[in-house]
Amino acid sequence: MTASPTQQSRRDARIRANAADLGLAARTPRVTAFTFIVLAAGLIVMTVVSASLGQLIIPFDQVLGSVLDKIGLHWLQGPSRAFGEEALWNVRFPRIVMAIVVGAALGVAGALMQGVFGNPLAEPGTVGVSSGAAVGASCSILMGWDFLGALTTPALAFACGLFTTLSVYLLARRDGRTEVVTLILTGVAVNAVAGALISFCTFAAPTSARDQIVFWQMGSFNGSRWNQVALVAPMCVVGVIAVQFMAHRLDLLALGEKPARHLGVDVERLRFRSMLVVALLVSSAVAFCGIIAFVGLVVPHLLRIIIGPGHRALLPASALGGALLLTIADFAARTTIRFADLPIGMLTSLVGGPFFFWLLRRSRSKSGGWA
Amino acid sequence: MNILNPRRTHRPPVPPQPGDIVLELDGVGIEIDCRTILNRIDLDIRAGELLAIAGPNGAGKSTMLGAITGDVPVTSGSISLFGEPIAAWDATELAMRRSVLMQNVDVTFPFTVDDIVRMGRSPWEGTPDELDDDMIVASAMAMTESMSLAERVYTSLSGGERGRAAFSRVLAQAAPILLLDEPTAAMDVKHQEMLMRLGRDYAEAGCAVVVIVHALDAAAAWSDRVALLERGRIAALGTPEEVFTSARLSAVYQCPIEVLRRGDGSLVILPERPAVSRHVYGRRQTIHGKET
Repeated sequence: MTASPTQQSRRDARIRANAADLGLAARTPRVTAFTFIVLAAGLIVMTVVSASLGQLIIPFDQVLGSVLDKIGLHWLQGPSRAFGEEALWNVRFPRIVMAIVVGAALGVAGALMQGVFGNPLAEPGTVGVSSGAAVGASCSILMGWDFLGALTTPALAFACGLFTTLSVYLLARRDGRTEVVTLILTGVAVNAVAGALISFCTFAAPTSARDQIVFWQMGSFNGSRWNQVALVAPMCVVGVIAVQFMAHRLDLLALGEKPARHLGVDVERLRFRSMLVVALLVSSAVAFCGIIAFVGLVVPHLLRIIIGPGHRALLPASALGGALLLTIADFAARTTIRFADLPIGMLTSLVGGPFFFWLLRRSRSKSGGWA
Repeated sequence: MNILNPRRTHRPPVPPQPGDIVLELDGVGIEIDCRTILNRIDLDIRAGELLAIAGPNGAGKSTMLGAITGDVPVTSGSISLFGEPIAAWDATELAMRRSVLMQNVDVTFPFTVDDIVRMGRSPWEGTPDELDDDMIVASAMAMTESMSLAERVYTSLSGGERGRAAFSRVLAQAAPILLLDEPTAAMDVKHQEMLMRLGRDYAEAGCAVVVIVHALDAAAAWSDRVALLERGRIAALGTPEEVFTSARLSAVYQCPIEVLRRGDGSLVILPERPAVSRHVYGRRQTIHGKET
């Protein structure tokens, strides 16, 4: 059967729309540079805004003055209100830096997982890596363990996170790719088991620890302290830098496992290192701030549309984008309702859930099935 | 992570002389789930030749190619590349020596054709050859007539266009051995012929080309030698004139096939077809765009 002229032209239009949607967009170095500048500028602006607003309002110039003061430049007046300096340096800045660090970690972890799984729907939260790491952290909170000192909670989160990452990876892949159905169902199973273990920890915990576990589980930057930042930030920085060295090989992995090997990629090694980095990034994010889902899904996806799928630009952009998103989300969590600090994990899931669903529908209509 | 593990040096390939054995299969047998897929295959592939592999579905053609690329483990026998067993080379050294085009290459993310072809250059990253990347990528795309596809997203291409883009990537890899698994499957006649001619040119430049093809007359026209596979063993190996005889093809494919020799010596290979009685229901027919 031959297509009628109208069918033909409709199909042409669809192909053209597809092309515009997917690629013939202006993915030039100029666009990439512009994106980086916008993200970095946004992050700086948000940091100042978030530091300045809240229950105690500290004007922008006083925030800047206080920061400059710390690095030895006395150009601007510091906070004039009582407790302003304390509010800035003991409450707001550790919290903002934590949001930046965790956001960067989650953004990069999402982009990395998508590259390794060969599936744009892979993400630490949906696949269950976050809840896996959370099991380790809640055990540590429940038992009050401190055999590794302050490192105990992040270390346990890392161990459980790595175990979950590796099992998801082994369970969900076939021939170097992950079908959407398999990935989602693996996520359901892993989240169920991890959820059950966390529930058990909550159940078994004494009342005081119970509150701690429940609130921590919902994800929040409330109460972040410098000593926590000092533990989490190096893990995250190591992860974000390590991932840059894999960027080019991750691109080749998009061709499939065998073609990547034919081009000289040691696929097994790349895979194992990636899993290690994912576990490191996710556990550093989860250890003190709980489960913050969907950042790793939304950020790399949007950036891929703007700057293209090449990992050399996508990975650092995802770090910036994740940091920006979480600074904004944390600001919203802090200020939307007066005198209430909303759990940030709740906010990201509220926005991320529908986005995930939209992506799922889109990938179904594109591949003509759930495969 | 490379900081901890400084770049190992990879042995660069030495260009082979025409006639050198570049690939040698010695008594190769492969069993998968207790089923014999390949049975004692002996084959040597030399620089400067285009070897076509033909045979019915399930004869073991792709498995044989998989064994040569190192993807399918060999149960018995050995395969050597440039005189050394495959395991003696690391992944990058292998990639500098042989490029592989598999059936249906799918790409996960919306990379453009230009990105994809450029990926073919990655084994040469950090070597002096890297300087020629742009030129090699451009000429590979020009050869396969896929320049116009450069900015298109690979996943939005038709099957034949994907085939051309993927073939450009393999050409850009510039390895002395080219392994192609049914590269012409989704292509129209013009591009089928173009691809086989490019394979021919590649071989004539002193490289070895191995192509799995189903179109027997294309194999006859373009190859130096043909290996005809039948149920895991080589039924015949030699020039197309020696291998493609009516009796042998009919027996291997279990279907009557006629081989005709034309005046210029070229072969015409046709399955024997019964005369059909045609039914023309509509009265309108179009010939040369005019309705009759």
